[in-house]
Amino acid sequence: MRSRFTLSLVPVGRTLAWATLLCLPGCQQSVPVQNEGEPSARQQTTSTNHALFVDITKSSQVNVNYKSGHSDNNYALLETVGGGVALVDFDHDGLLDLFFAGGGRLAREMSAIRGERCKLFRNVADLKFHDVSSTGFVPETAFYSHGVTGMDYNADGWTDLLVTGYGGVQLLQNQGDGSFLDVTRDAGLEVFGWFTAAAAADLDRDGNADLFLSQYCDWKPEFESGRFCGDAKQGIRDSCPPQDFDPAPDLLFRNSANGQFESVTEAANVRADGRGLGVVAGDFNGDDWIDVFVANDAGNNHLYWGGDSWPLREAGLAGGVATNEYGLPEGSMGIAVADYDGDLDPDLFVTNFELENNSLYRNDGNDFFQHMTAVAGLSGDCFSFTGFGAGFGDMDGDGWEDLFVVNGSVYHHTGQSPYRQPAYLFKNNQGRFQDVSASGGSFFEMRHPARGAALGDLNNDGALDLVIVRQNEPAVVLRGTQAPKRWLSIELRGVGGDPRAVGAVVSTVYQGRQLARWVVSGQGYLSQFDTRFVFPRDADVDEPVFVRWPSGTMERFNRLRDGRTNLLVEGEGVETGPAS
Amino acid sequence: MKRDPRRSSPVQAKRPESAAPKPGSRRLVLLGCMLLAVVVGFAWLRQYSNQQRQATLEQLSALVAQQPDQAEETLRAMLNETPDSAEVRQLVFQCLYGQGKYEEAAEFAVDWVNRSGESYEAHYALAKTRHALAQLPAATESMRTAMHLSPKTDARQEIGVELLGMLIEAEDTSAARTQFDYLRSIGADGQVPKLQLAYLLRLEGRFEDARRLLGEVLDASPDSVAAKMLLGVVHLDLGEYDLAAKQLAEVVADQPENKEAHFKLALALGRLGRTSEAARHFAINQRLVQASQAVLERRGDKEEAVRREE
Repeated sequence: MRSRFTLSLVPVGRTLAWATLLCLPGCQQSVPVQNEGEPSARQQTTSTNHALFVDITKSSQVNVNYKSGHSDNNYALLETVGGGVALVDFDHDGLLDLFFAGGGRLAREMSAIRGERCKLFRNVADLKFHDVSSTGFVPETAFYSHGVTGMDYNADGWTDLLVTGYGGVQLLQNQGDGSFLDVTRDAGLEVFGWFTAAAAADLDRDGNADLFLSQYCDWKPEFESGRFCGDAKQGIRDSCPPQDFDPAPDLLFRNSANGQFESVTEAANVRADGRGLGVVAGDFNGDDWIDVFVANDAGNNHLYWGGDSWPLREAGLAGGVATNEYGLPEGSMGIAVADYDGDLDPDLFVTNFELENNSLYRNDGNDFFQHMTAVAGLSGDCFSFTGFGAGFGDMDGDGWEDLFVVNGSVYHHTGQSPYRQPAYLFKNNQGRFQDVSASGGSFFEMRHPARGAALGDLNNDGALDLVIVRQNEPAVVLRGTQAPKRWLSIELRGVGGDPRAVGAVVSTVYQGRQLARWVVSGQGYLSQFDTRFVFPRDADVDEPVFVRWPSGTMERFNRLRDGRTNLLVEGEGVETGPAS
Repeated sequence: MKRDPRRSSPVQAKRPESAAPKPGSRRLVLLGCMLLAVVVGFAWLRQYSNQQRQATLEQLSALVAQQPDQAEETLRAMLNETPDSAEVRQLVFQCLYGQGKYEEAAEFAVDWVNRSGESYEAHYALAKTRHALAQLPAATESMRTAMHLSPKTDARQEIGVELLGMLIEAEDTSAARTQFDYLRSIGADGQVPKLQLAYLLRLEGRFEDARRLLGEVLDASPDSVAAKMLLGVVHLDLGEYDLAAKQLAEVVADQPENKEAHFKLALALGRLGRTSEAARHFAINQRLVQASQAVLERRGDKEEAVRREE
């Protein structure tokens, strides 16, 4: 009998449709499955001494597990979201400290939910950290926590923390003496809901940081405990997908200067139809008004353009950031912001669910973005995996913003790909990315159940370090090894407005090319990045640094010092006239 | 009884009385005949059975495409009886592939290759399966082998075009270019390889080269919707929004249900400030997206997805 194998040996020209042609990269229908616990197939191409990152978790004495509650085998959607970490200098000693969301526990049958204690690790130099959360300086978090965002809600110069989670939010006021005070009730932030990411920025330009809170789903334990999700034939339970639950509305709170927040959700026309997991606030179109981008799971992303009057203008779809390049909504989680192509405007990167490419949206100006994942060389690599934490940063000191992505499945048994998944590092070659994970060090050899992650210079050596939160496993601290030969670090202090200067742009020139960095709030996944910027410097030229403040003024700062953090205070530079 | 001498032979005449057929030898002959009949019967039955089996396989091969799950059950039963049957094994492979059981299908494909090492179809099957399993380098290698083993030029061209697609997918631009040149050398310089090269050029960020090549494709095949679509996208990349809108409007006219085209057209129109038109195409895109199979399946509404498929 003649073989009847006719998968597609019909003339290709007759069958090749446009969609097929465009779907070539990353449209596989299935993925290779590796057993849990196995190392990633990735072979390291460099020795540990030359790896981009070195795992220093053990020596750092950071010993913290984010607890999802999985040990009770409930397989609830709540357990899939995970937690984040904030890199903030809470005690003003010049070293970034680490604050981890604690997670929580669901009693068996999901009859009760309680929070686990968040953890604060004080950086005591030489990349050593001490757990100071048990000394009574960090109030307990009653609810199941996910995210943490740094802000200065009372503009006293000390970084406060906002913790999000299932059950509400918690505002922790930094007392300036190493302790935090829970001021949630006094601040008017006693709200119930499932809060994931948060961003703090002065949207109405009244000088106070307002608060954008994203909510995930209208979920209650009883909604899920009564239904079976997973593989019904084999009786294997897994969490239900978010599509089984209605979206929960995002909220916007205005900070009224006396330490009080009031909801302006309706006035601002904040949408209620997204399952938000990521939020970032910054000035994305250079009009000096704060804009907000929300990454939604299983639905269109939202982009709010700020302006001098409310409601905010939501234009995610028209702006080209709501969906993938075919107009399909994706399961979006983490967000990264940077000028990846060197054209001096901030671009957006979003991590997505398995069997979806991550999305790189190039800012084309005029409030429009273009989906450039494939053209930038980012399609395919992470297609099989569920992306969570991500961030841009110049990890090799060449001035171009590189990218990291950490992954992990939300399903223990029934996902398309394994529960533990590899992390990725992409080197930016002048706007095109190259997978250099094999040079990333031991962390990138293994697979992880990763969620939140944050970049920052933990030891002030000019190399960006990385902290990763994993589900029910110890968080990981990676020391960056690639500092520029000559560098400086910039920290901004706004005056008369938000001290953290969210919305500002910092720029300088390196090797004849202008580098720009945007101060944003809320990027990554449920985490807070270092708000300082490390710039490489030419060997023989001391280029000035320019700051465009949220107020719109531009200042030039000269005589900056190499190899250390320079605090640039608004009004102390040389004003250069209207910013361009 | 008197003998007829004309019918007698000397031998017969000399035959002793005892040589005359006895009732026992007649039984032997009868037995032989019966044995022969049985053998012939068996042979006939076997041939009949083979014909029946062949007919069954013909029917099953048709069923494989329609209802692979049902066909698989029957074929597996047949495989138990004839575990070395190449036809049955190939059909089982097709069932598995058709159902998306790529892991198992890969095992059958490897077995197929091992049993018939020079069969380009076996290597092609393995390539497709590995591709479905996202084992891109291995898939590319198998596809390359299939291409070189294929005895006829047209099959080599078709497989070669698929290989080019895989190389582009792997973003192996140098190998893709070599393959493109090879395809031209064997006469496969039609629209599809050119389209793929244009896609490759776009991936490389060489938008103007892609635009020029797509112009050539459209000169030769002015009705190619795929070329129009890709050209529209390249115009978007280049910030040529008016040209993008014109090109994509043609695609939408050709394919009113093409959700991607509506989306891209809406993006182009929005950038031209034609916001109400953009909104209309965004709305069509969203309606089509909501109705699409992929979205329904991702939302877990499998029943509705199956209903729509039917």
